[in-house]
Amino acid sequence: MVKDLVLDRNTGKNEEKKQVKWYKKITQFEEFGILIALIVICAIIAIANPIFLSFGNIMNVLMQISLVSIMAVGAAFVIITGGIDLSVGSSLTLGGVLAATFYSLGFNPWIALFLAVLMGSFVGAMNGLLIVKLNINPFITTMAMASVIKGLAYLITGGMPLSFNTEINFLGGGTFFSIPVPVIIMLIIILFGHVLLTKTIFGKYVFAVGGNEKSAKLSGVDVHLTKIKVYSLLGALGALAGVITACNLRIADTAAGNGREMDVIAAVVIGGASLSGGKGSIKGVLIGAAIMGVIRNGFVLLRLSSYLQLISIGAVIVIAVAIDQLRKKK
Amino acid sequence: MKRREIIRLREITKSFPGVKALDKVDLSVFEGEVHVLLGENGAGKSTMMNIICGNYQPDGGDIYWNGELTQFQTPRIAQEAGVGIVHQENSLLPHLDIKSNIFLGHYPKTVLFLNQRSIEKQSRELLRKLGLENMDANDYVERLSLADKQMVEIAKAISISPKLLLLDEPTAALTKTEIDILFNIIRKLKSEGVGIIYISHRLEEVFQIADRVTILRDGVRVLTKPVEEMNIDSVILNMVGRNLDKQKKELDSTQDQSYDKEVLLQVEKLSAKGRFHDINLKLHRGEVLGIAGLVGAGRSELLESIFGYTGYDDGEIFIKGKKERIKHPKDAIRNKMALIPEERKVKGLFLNASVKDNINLVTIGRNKKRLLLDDKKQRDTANQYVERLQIKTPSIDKRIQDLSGGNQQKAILARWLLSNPEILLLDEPTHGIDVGAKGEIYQIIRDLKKAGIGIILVSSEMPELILMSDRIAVMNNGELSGKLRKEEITEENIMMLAAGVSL
Ligand SMILES: Nc1ncnc2c1ncn2[C@@H]1O[C@H](COP(=O)(O)OP(=O)(O)OP(=O)(O)O)[C@@H](O)[C@H]1O
Ligand SMILES: [Mg+2]
Repeated sequence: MVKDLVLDRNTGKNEEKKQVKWYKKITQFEEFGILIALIVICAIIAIANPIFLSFGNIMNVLMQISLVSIMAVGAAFVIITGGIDLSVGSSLTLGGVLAATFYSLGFNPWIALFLAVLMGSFVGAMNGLLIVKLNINPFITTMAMASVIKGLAYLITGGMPLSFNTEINFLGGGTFFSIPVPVIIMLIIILFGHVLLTKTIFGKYVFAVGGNEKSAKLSGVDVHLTKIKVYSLLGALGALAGVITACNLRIADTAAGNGREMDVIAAVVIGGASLSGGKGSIKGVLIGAAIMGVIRNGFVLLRLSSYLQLISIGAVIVIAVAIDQLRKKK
Repeated sequence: MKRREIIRLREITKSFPGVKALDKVDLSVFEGEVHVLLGENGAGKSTMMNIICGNYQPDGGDIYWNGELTQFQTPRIAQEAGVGIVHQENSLLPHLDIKSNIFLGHYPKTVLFLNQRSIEKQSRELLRKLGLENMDANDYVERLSLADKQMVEIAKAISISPKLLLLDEPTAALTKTEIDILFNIIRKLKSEGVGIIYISHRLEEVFQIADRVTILRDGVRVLTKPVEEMNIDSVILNMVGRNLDKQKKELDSTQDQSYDKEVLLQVEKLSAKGRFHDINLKLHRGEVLGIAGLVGAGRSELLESIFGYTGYDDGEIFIKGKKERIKHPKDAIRNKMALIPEERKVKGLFLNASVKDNINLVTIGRNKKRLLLDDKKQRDTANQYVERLQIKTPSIDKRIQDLSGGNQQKAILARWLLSNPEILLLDEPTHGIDVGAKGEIYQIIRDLKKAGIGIILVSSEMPELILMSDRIAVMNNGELSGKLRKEEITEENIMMLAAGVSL
């Protein structure tokens, strides 16, 4: 009966659904702006130095962005819930140190890797717990946690690098059909993150929490648990990146993760996520990390000063966010 | 005496992607005139207000201010010219106090520091002038009830001494007491020569304060007439484009006051410090239990506690006779409860998300195909409910922020109808909804009742409460001051109990 009543009402809503042209579809694609930016930057560098497009160099760039991308996938989840994590660099350090320590204690290196990642996710969960239970601002919480983790790493190592010479070193240094293994791991993590964010209930909850916490709670979303999970995911990915680093360098160093959190956050933000939450994508993360990687690589290829490189990365962050704002206005 | 025109809008046109919100609309306001703007949800009323206050720029058409062709490029320019506005959605800053909110954007000029003392004094004077003596200018806005926020919003609009005042559904969140205050303010402003554009879905108000009426339908102006030449039927006919008689009769004929004996929800001695105290309620299968009360009586707080959003300190909740500890809304949802909250922007919507995601959130788990979510199912569900509730949107992928207020409300209703609740808690469910859609929502409530669902209805609209409820519980100051059986329900009885007078 509801239907009958409703249907005799003509509000003109069902106007003909216009066939959206393909080029319109592309420009409506959220990451369109930064994708164009990436292509333009690549084109400029390629014209200036064709080596840029060689297989070896492309792999080199991908290898360089692999660690940041892996962590940025986790950071995207955190940022979409409206949070931030400044401790991921320290998680990286801790991950490597723990893996090396467990290995030196006689554990199988795979188990050592597993334990390190587990500890990473535990540390992340601690971040989340402090944030939701004590209601401390995530910026402060994770900044403090960064310091605690780093201290722990120093305590464990005494400040000396630990050697990590094992049969899993191929995870950092090996290749598979000429593709570096870390790049393959990165692609797997990106795919995993993309599916998790867009095709699961958890992903929908992540967006809901960042979009409006009160509405999310009233819709039955466990806001606290969702937050703890995202920080835990990031902690695990941070530790994984740490183990890969140790595999690559054959040592676990207490300085390995210093300052990495800034690259990670930059990749997410260039990728179109909003620090106020509710918005972001894993596709964007990949493009964001790629833009930074390509610029770094370009400066090396073109023999430009690395100081200029710092400046231009800063500029890219501002431009990316500005483009996003302009698009929103339109 | 010939009155001067404050503003004249000529052939205003405005399009958004996928909709023509306004199509060559004319509108004018004289000094001391209340011009009421009517239309269904999405007719273009708020868009018109946003154009007048400089928030949107029209695609075409002219604005004459005091007879001169003008453009209001920014809200600031419009404000300086003398346009005051109360937006449909709350726009106060919750973390600031009342006085700062009122003077934000037009602090009195001083050399160096803000003169807090003078701002406080002026705010207090303004509040007193508006009959809001009981408000403290130093209170933080986030602590205020929705109605009080609305009154602050009005005070803010008036604080710039406007020549033209735009009121976009100012009474949607108000009860009779505040509405009376507001109408007194309006009459006073009128006598001072201020022009007013007034938007409301409460049609009875139109005949109390309007001088002229303009009706919009789908972005087109249908008519402009002095209020004397209109009556409620002609207003509805022109708004909706058809007669609602059939619907009304049908609604009356289905008025069935019986309900089952089975108790779906029982609340015993429920207390929450500072919010409500010692509440006992029973909700039966197929019953509509109305809850009446003045603003601040604790009605919304009670619903939110029952639903697990804010806890309670003492007392017990039984669902179908079984004691349940409801600590979180997810516990409530598991027990087949649903709550449609009062402040949709704050507690209901995900403004940046699509209509589709807004509708599907609570029942998202149903769209699983093996491990992952199936997008097609979500789209089908959303489309089906957009159709069923006649939600006006170009597509389900549209951000819900871009929908008109009433259509946003319908989307939230869709979200919860989808969850097939047995116990439905409705907090001002027709807030911002047009007459036609209101009738549809009433019909839906009736149908749900017939299907054996228990409904608690909190509403400030007395006619709505009386029409829909089988019983009414009245709250006063956080306590239950009385319960009325159907035959006892009268406006006087409700008002007495609400004021704390026992019958
Ligand atoms: N910023 C926007 N972007 C896109 N579409 C918009 C925007 N604002 C309004 N619209 C559309 O314009 C139309 C008119 O909306 P408007 O808000 O003016 O309606 P209204 O008459 O105020 O309705 P209500 O009574 O529900 O508040 C609607 O179809 C709405 O979806
Ligand atoms: Mg409106």
